[in-house]
Amino acid sequence: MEAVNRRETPAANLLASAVVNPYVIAGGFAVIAVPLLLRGNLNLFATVAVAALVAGWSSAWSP
Amino acid sequence: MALTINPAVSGSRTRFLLHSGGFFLGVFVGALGSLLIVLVLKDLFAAIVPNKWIVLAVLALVGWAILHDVGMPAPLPYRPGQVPERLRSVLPTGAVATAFGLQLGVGFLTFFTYSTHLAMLLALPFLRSLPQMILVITLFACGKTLVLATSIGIRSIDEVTTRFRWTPARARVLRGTTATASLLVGLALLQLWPGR
Repeated sequence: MEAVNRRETPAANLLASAVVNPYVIAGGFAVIAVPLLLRGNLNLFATVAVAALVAGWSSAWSP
Repeated sequence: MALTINPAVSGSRTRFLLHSGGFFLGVFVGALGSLLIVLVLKDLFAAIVPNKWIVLAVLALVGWAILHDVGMPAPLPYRPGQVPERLRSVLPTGAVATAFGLQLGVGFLTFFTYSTHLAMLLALPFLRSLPQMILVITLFACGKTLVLATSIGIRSIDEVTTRFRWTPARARVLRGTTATASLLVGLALLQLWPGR
Protein backbone atom coordinates (compact mmCIF):
# COMPACT_ATOMS: atom_id res chain seq x y z
CA MET A 1 0.00 0.00 0.00
CA GLU A 2 2.97 2.34 0.32
CA ALA A 3 2.93 3.00 -3.41
CA VAL A 4 -0.71 4.00 -3.17
CA ASN A 5 -0.09 6.54 -0.46
CA ARG A 6 3.30 7.92 -1.26
CA ARG A 7 1.86 11.34 -2.17
CA GLU A 8 -0.17 11.80 1.00
CA THR A 9 0.38 15.21 2.60
CA PRO A 10 -1.34 17.05 5.46
CA ALA A 11 -2.96 19.28 2.84
CA ALA A 12 -4.34 16.28 0.96
CA ASN A 13 -5.60 14.86 4.24
CA LEU A 14 -7.34 18.16 5.04
CA LEU A 15 -8.87 18.29 1.57
CA ALA A 16 -10.13 14.71 1.83
CA SER A 17 -11.72 15.48 5.22
CA ALA A 18 -13.30 18.61 3.79
CA VAL A 19 -15.23 16.54 1.25
CA VAL A 20 -17.58 15.31 3.97
CA ASN A 21 -17.49 18.39 6.18
CA PRO A 22 -21.08 19.62 6.67
CA TYR A 23 -19.86 23.24 6.53
CA VAL A 24 -18.35 22.54 3.11
CA ILE A 25 -21.58 20.87 1.96
CA ALA A 26 -23.57 23.86 3.25
CA GLY A 27 -21.14 26.26 1.56
CA GLY A 28 -21.34 24.36 -1.72
CA PHE A 29 -25.11 24.46 -1.54
CA ALA A 30 -25.12 28.19 -0.79
CA VAL A 31 -22.80 28.96 -3.70
CA ILE A 32 -25.23 27.28 -6.10
CA ALA A 33 -28.54 28.18 -4.44
CA VAL A 34 -28.04 31.87 -3.66
CA PRO A 35 -27.69 32.93 -7.33
CA LEU A 36 -30.83 30.91 -8.06
CA LEU A 37 -32.72 32.74 -5.34
CA LEU A 38 -31.41 36.11 -6.47
CA ARG A 39 -32.89 35.51 -9.91
CA GLY A 40 -36.29 35.68 -8.25
CA ASN A 41 -38.08 33.05 -10.28
CA LEU A 42 -37.37 29.60 -8.88
CA ASN A 43 -36.71 27.21 -11.72
CA LEU A 44 -37.92 23.69 -10.90
CA PHE A 45 -35.18 21.94 -12.83
CA ALA A 46 -32.44 24.01 -11.17
CA THR A 47 -33.80 23.48 -7.66
CA VAL A 48 -34.28 19.74 -8.20
CA ALA A 49 -30.76 19.46 -9.64
CA VAL A 50 -29.32 21.21 -6.57
CA ALA A 51 -31.40 19.03 -4.25
CA ALA A 52 -30.12 15.92 -6.05
CA LEU A 53 -26.51 16.94 -5.52
CA VAL A 54 -27.16 17.75 -1.86
CA ALA A 55 -29.09 14.48 -1.42
CA GLY A 56 -26.16 12.47 -2.69
CA TRP A 57 -23.45 14.47 -0.98
CA SER A 58 -25.14 14.70 2.43
CA SER A 59 -25.77 10.97 2.53
CA ALA A 60 -22.20 10.63 3.76
CA TRP A 61 -23.80 11.31 7.11
CA SER A 62 -26.30 8.54 7.54
CA PRO A 63 -28.21 9.14 10.79
CA MET B 1 -19.56 3.90 1.99
CA ALA B 2 -15.98 5.15 2.16
CA LEU B 3 -15.32 2.30 4.58
CA THR B 4 -16.13 -0.22 1.85
CA ILE B 5 -14.73 1.54 -1.21
CA ASN B 6 -11.35 3.11 -0.53
CA PRO B 7 -7.73 2.78 -1.71
CA ALA B 8 -6.83 0.50 1.21
CA VAL B 9 -9.50 -2.05 0.30
CA SER B 10 -9.10 -1.68 -3.45
CA GLY B 11 -5.32 -2.07 -3.30
CA SER B 12 -4.38 0.50 -5.92
CA ARG B 13 -5.50 3.86 -7.26
CA THR B 14 -6.64 2.34 -10.54
CA ARG B 15 -8.73 -0.31 -8.82
CA PHE B 16 -10.12 2.33 -6.44
CA LEU B 17 -11.22 4.42 -9.43
CA LEU B 18 -12.76 1.33 -11.06
CA HIS B 19 -14.64 0.44 -7.90
CA SER B 20 -15.81 4.05 -7.52
CA GLY B 21 -17.03 3.89 -11.12
CA GLY B 22 -18.92 0.70 -10.32
CA PHE B 23 -20.48 2.38 -7.31
CA PHE B 24 -21.47 5.41 -9.43
CA LEU B 25 -23.06 3.14 -12.02
CA GLY B 26 -24.92 1.22 -9.31
CA VAL B 27 -26.31 4.42 -7.78
CA PHE B 28 -27.31 5.72 -11.20
CA VAL B 29 -29.16 2.53 -12.17
CA GLY B 30 -30.79 2.23 -8.74
CA ALA B 31 -32.01 5.82 -8.89
CA LEU B 32 -33.23 5.22 -12.42
CA GLY B 33 -35.34 2.36 -11.05
CA SER B 34 -36.84 4.67 -8.43
CA LEU B 35 -37.51 7.29 -11.10
CA LEU B 36 -39.37 4.70 -13.17
CA ILE B 37 -41.56 3.77 -10.20
CA VAL B 38 -42.30 7.42 -9.42
CA LEU B 39 -43.19 8.11 -13.07
CA VAL B 40 -45.57 5.14 -13.18
CA LEU B 41 -47.19 6.18 -9.89
CA LYS B 42 -47.60 9.76 -11.12
CA ASP B 43 -49.28 8.54 -14.31
CA LEU B 44 -51.57 6.26 -12.33
CA PHE B 45 -52.64 9.08 -10.04
CA ALA B 46 -52.97 11.49 -12.98
CA ALA B 47 -55.58 9.15 -14.44
CA ILE B 48 -57.65 9.42 -11.28
CA VAL B 49 -57.15 12.91 -9.82
CA PRO B 50 -56.36 16.37 -11.26
CA ASN B 51 -52.70 17.32 -11.46
CA LYS B 52 -53.10 20.01 -8.81
CA TRP B 53 -53.94 17.38 -6.21
CA ILE B 54 -50.83 15.42 -7.11
CA VAL B 55 -48.76 18.59 -6.67
CA LEU B 56 -50.45 19.16 -3.32
CA ALA B 57 -49.71 15.60 -2.20
CA VAL B 58 -46.07 15.94 -3.22
CA LEU B 59 -45.79 19.24 -1.34
CA ALA B 60 -47.27 17.58 1.74
CA LEU B 61 -44.82 14.68 1.51
CA VAL B 62 -41.85 17.01 1.04
CA GLY B 63 -43.01 19.02 4.06
CA TRP B 64 -43.39 15.80 6.02
CA ALA B 65 -39.81 14.82 5.16
CA ILE B 66 -38.51 18.28 6.09
CA LEU B 67 -40.00 17.74 9.56
CA HIS B 68 -37.53 14.87 9.86
CA ASP B 69 -34.62 17.20 9.06
CA VAL B 70 -35.66 19.72 11.68
CA GLY B 71 -35.77 17.10 14.41
CA MET B 72 -39.34 15.83 14.34
CA PRO B 73 -38.98 12.23 13.16
CA ALA B 74 -42.01 11.41 11.06
CA PRO B 75 -42.56 7.88 9.70
CA LEU B 76 -41.35 7.50 6.11
CA PRO B 77 -41.32 4.49 3.76
CA TYR B 78 -37.61 3.73 4.03
CA ARG B 79 -36.19 0.36 5.03
CA PRO B 80 -34.76 0.75 8.55
CA GLY B 81 -31.41 -0.85 7.83
CA GLN B 82 -28.02 -0.39 6.26
CA VAL B 83 -26.49 -2.09 3.24
CA PRO B 84 -25.84 -5.83 3.91
CA GLU B 85 -22.33 -5.93 5.38
CA ARG B 86 -22.07 -9.69 4.82
CA LEU B 87 -21.69 -9.07 1.09
CA ARG B 88 -18.19 -7.72 1.78
CA SER B 89 -17.00 -11.20 2.70
CA VAL B 90 -18.71 -13.12 -0.09
CA LEU B 91 -18.29 -10.85 -3.13
CA PRO B 92 -15.29 -9.16 -4.72
CA THR B 93 -14.96 -5.43 -3.93
CA GLY B 94 -16.05 -4.35 -7.41
CA ALA B 95 -19.28 -6.34 -7.17
CA VAL B 96 -19.90 -5.09 -3.62
CA ALA B 97 -19.39 -1.50 -4.76
CA THR B 98 -21.94 -1.90 -7.55
CA ALA B 99 -24.42 -3.80 -5.38
CA PHE B 100 -24.21 -1.23 -2.57
CA GLY B 101 -24.51 1.53 -5.16
CA LEU B 102 -27.67 -0.05 -6.54
CA GLN B 103 -29.23 -0.31 -3.12
CA LEU B 104 -28.28 3.24 -2.12
CA GLY B 105 -29.36 4.56 -5.50
CA VAL B 106 -32.88 3.21 -5.04
CA GLY B 107 -32.89 5.15 -1.80
CA PHE B 108 -35.74 3.42 -0.01
CA LEU B 109 -33.79 0.25 0.71
CA THR B 110 -31.73 1.79 3.51
CA PHE B 111 -32.27 4.22 6.39
CA PHE B 112 -33.86 7.57 5.58
CA THR B 113 -31.07 10.11 5.47
CA TYR B 114 -32.41 13.57 4.67
CA SER B 115 -35.47 15.13 3.04
CA THR B 116 -33.63 16.11 -0.14
CA HIS B 117 -33.80 12.54 -1.47
CA LEU B 118 -37.58 12.43 -1.28
CA ALA B 119 -37.95 16.03 -2.50
CA MET B 120 -35.75 15.32 -5.52
CA LEU B 121 -37.44 12.05 -6.41
CA LEU B 122 -41.02 13.28 -6.04
CA ALA B 123 -40.31 16.41 -8.08
CA LEU B 124 -38.70 14.50 -10.97
CA PRO B 125 -41.96 13.66 -12.81
CA PHE B 126 -42.76 17.37 -12.98
CA LEU B 127 -39.64 18.20 -14.98
CA ARG B 128 -40.11 19.06 -18.64
CA SER B 129 -38.12 16.29 -20.27
CA LEU B 130 -36.49 12.92 -19.76
CA PRO B 131 -32.95 14.32 -20.35
CA GLN B 132 -33.55 16.73 -17.46
CA MET B 133 -34.57 13.82 -15.25
CA ILE B 134 -31.51 11.81 -16.30
CA LEU B 135 -29.26 14.78 -15.56
CA VAL B 136 -30.72 15.11 -12.08
CA ILE B 137 -30.19 11.38 -11.44
CA THR B 138 -26.60 11.78 -12.66
CA LEU B 139 -26.01 14.63 -10.19
CA PHE B 140 -27.43 12.48 -7.41
CA ALA B 141 -25.00 9.68 -8.32
CA CYS B 142 -22.14 12.22 -8.53
CA GLY B 143 -22.98 13.48 -5.02
CA LYS B 144 -23.00 9.93 -3.63
CA THR B 145 -19.73 9.07 -5.34
CA LEU B 146 -18.05 12.34 -4.31
CA VAL B 147 -18.16 11.09 -0.73
CA LEU B 148 -15.67 8.36 -1.63
CA ALA B 149 -13.04 11.05 -2.23
CA THR B 150 -12.75 11.37 1.52
CA SER B 151 -10.79 8.12 1.57
CA ILE B 152 -8.11 9.31 -0.85
CA GLY B 153 -4.61 8.75 0.49
CA ILE B 154 -5.49 6.48 3.41
CA ARG B 155 -3.25 3.60 4.49
CA SER B 156 -5.83 1.68 6.50
CA ILE B 157 -9.61 1.62 6.86
CA ASP B 158 -9.32 3.11 10.36
CA GLU B 159 -8.02 6.32 8.85
CA VAL B 160 -11.32 6.87 7.05
CA THR B 161 -13.26 7.22 10.29
CA THR B 162 -10.93 9.95 11.56
CA ARG B 163 -11.96 12.07 8.57
CA PHE B 164 -15.61 12.05 9.66
CA ARG B 165 -15.94 14.50 12.54
CA TRP B 166 -19.49 14.67 13.77
CA THR B 167 -20.61 17.33 16.24
CA PRO B 168 -24.09 18.59 17.15
CA ALA B 169 -23.31 21.90 15.41
CA ARG B 170 -22.28 20.12 12.22
CA ALA B 171 -25.44 18.00 12.38
CA ARG B 172 -27.56 21.17 12.64
CA VAL B 173 -25.75 22.74 9.68
CA LEU B 174 -26.30 19.66 7.53
CA ARG B 175 -29.95 19.31 8.50
CA GLY B 176 -30.48 23.02 7.87
CA THR B 177 -28.90 22.67 4.44
CA THR B 178 -30.99 19.67 3.42
CA ALA B 179 -34.18 21.24 4.77
CA THR B 180 -33.49 24.46 2.84
CA ALA B 181 -32.74 22.56 -0.39
CA SER B 182 -36.01 20.63 -0.02
CA LEU B 183 -37.89 23.81 0.80
CA LEU B 184 -36.63 25.38 -2.43
CA VAL B 185 -37.92 22.36 -4.37
CA GLY B 186 -41.26 22.78 -2.61
CA LEU B 187 -41.41 26.48 -3.50
CA ALA B 188 -40.56 25.71 -7.12
CA LEU B 189 -43.29 23.04 -7.19
CA LEU B 190 -45.74 25.54 -5.79
CA GLN B 191 -45.35 27.52 -9.00
CA LEU B 192 -47.01 24.62 -10.81
CA TRP B 193 -50.15 25.23 -8.81
CA PRO B 194 -52.96 26.33 -11.18
CA GLY B 195 -53.63 30.04 -11.25
CA ARG B 196 -50.10 31.07 -10.35
